[in-house]
Amino acid sequence: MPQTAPRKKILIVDDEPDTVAFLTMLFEDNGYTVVSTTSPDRVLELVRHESPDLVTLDLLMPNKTGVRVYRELRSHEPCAALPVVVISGANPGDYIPMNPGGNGGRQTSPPDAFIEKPIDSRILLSTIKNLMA
Amino acid sequence: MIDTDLKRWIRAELFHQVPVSISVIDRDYRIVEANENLEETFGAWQGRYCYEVYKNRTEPCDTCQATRTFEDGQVRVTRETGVDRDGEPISYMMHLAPLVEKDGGIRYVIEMSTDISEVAFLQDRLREETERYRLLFEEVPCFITIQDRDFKLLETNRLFREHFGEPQGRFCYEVYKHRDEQCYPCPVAETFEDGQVRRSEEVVTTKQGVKINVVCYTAPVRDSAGNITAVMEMSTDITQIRQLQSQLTSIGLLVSSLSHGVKGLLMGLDGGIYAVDSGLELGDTARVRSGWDMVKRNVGKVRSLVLDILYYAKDREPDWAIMNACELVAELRELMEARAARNGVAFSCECPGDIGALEADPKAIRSVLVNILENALDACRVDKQKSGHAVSLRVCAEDGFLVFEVSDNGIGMDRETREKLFTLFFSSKGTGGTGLGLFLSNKIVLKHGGAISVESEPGQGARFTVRIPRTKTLVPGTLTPELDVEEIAGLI
Repeated sequence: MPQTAPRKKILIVDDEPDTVAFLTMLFEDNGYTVVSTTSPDRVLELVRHESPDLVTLDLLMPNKTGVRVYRELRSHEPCAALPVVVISGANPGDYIPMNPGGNGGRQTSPPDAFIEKPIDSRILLSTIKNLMA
Repeated sequence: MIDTDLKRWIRAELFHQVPVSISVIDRDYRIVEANENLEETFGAWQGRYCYEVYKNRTEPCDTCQATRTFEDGQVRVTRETGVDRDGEPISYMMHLAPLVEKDGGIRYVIEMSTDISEVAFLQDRLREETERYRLLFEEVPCFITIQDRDFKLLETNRLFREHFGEPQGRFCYEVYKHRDEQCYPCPVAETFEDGQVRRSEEVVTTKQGVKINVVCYTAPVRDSAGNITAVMEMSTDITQIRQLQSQLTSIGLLVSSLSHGVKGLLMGLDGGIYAVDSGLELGDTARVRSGWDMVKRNVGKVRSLVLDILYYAKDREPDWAIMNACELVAELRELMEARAARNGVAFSCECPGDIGALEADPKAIRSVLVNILENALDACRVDKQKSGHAVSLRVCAEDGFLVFEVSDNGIGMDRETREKLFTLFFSSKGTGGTGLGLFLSNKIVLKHGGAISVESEPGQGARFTVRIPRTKTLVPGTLTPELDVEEIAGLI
């Protein structure tokens, strides 16, 4: 189901290679370009170099949690508005304050969407499609 | 006029008006005179004997104080119990005095009795109450001490003495904490200071060296002037509650950790199924094969997760048997070679043919090595920094031990990960791990009297060394590492 050019680019961040492989196949089959990393430390660098249109982010990862990655993304001006979809087995409320709009100033605004593992592919695909529309 | 009236009143009335029973008895104990109060209290007296009227007896008392006063002329005061006119028991204080004749002889003794039934009743009640409080103090299921300002134990109850021994002038800090000097802060000292009740949680050590968690309350003991003369300390054993909390916390963590682990595995299985389905649809054999590998890998993980849970749920003793080390290595080679190859990892084994046998639990030791080998494979699989990866298993003999060495050149570990490696529910694999595998592996090896050690640096790979005694080694006591609730809580 190829899309009209230019193809949108998604950055997948997940420490589990099987998940990365699954999401890569799913997104590529649906007409997206994919870059991925299993290392949370490389996310900012990849965002700068690859300029993705959307990031999918796992929360529980070794060395650096997805929450920290998310806060770093949001605090860097060029990526502050980049749509982020959290894909995790964890409950989002436990990790990221879900205050709508982040009007408190100091608190980080919530991710654009949260998809719980194991994922429902149709919901994931329609969510990312809407976010990049 | 007044004098005359007063004398007449005294002669006529006083004898009858005083609130005391008065009787005059002769040497045969017959009552020859008595006042109205006696009649009101003890009933009719005319023609009757002292022992009949006062005690409802038919013969003289065994120890008669009047007899002695008849003999020596001394005034006596005695406490008696008798029977009143209604047949009810009565307590009275009797004052006995001789009526001395001009010739010095004693024909009569005067008996003056005051009813003290109420006082006696109150005294009895007080004794009963005191006894009841003593019983409560002794039998209450907590440790009670009463301490002076130097924390010397003045009084202790039975449970305290059973667990901490006889106080014998010892000090609180000595007995409870095995210390040489006062503790800081000390709730007893604070209560002495301001008279307030204090609550604290302490860990104390019994005379057998058992550590007990207690919740401890202190209260001032005051004298009638309100000064604090002592402090009472009551400590309740809450060790079981603390253990239960710890177990509940670990069960909660287990459930949460398992749910994360299972979600990760389901994601892997979904990925595999997606790849197989889409590969079949596209006629892409390579994709089908990679999907099928994903399915197999994740089913294998589900299997080891289930085995881990079973092992965790039951604290098993090793099922000892003689096992051949080389056969075990051959079996592991067969299992791991294909898995390693699928992940593009080179796998090698080294086992000297004459290494000999090992007395151990074959299934348990096999699961330990499979766990460590799979971790090594995972460490290689997620490492994107290097192009070629290798995992090796080497066995050698060393002073009565067999040493299994598993090396990889995967992502390696930092110091924090190395230190927490064997902690329950610690996982460096995000959703990919449950934190059970190495915890259980360590437990199994400890039960065999062996040890696991690890050398690793980030990016430098890792080397796990498992040392197992060649012959059965009985390890005393429980070897389940104690669960530190705060430590576990810090990990999530």
